[in-house]
Amino acid sequence: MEDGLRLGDRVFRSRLLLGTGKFASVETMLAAIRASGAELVTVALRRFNRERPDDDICGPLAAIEGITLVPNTSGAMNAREAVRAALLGREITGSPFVKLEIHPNPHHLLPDPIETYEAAVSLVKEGFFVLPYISADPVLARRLEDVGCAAVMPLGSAIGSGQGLATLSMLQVIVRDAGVPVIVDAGLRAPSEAAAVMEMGGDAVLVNSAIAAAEDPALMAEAFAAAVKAGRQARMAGLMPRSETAVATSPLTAFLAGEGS
Amino acid sequence: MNLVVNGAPHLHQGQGTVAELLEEFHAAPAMTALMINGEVVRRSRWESVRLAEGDEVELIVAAAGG
Repeated sequence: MEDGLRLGDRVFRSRLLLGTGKFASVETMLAAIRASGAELVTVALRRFNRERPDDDICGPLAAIEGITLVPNTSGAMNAREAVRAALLGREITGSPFVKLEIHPNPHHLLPDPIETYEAAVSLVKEGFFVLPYISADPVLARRLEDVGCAAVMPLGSAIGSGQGLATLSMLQVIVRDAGVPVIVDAGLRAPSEAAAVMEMGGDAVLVNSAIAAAEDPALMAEAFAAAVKAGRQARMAGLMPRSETAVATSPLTAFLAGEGS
Repeated sequence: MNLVVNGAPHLHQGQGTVAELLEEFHAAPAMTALMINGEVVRRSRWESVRLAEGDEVELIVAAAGG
């Protein structure tokens, strides 16, 4: 496959991953997923509710062909709980992927690096393709790569904040040094930010709130897909070098100047 | 048999099989994961497992999330 996103033993055409949270309705969510062209879609876990058996999201998602579910470990407070959540997610979805996220503090939802690392070690041994959600920390990213994670998912800014690429300079370091795909996850608000990630060499982005909370989620999903594609194409095309001075695009011939001037 | 299912008391009427419990809750087996006393019980073991008095059971499904 040409220019695919390789994660574990799979290759994906789309470099836009979608979260399923916060959509106003199942129909809106399905329309956004279709419009996004996403092939990897995250889901969370919750207790079965006998009063609301139709809340189960697997049924509606099964209607969309060509997507692979990525269960997350949201709600886990430590490595032990995250491993348990991952095992449950695999039982439900049959997916080899897990979005490993351990963010015990509801005020900032920043990931706990120590618990995340410990859980990653266990989950790789369990045979998962582990996609860890992390702060934009190049050292941690490398350590997670070294223990066999299939990608790293540094945050652009706090989950759901729409603050964009607050961590840009650290993301650049991660992208430069990483040997596994870098998926920028969390905080994005505008498609231009997704394009910027791709232009600087990021491998993919994961978007949820920016699409789910848009006035027209399906249209925003399409916009993000276009931005990711444009950014990727720009990266492949090779951006021109920066110059500190102007570099003329038209010939600066002297023939307009008068004789003897 | 008295169980605790998803944090609430549940009077189980059957022989303690997973299939019976799921039926009591009208939970779809293919979309449900099971924990008994904090341990994840893989689908391949469902037929051989028997619930016991006082067991704490969690029935987990997928939900919307990022």
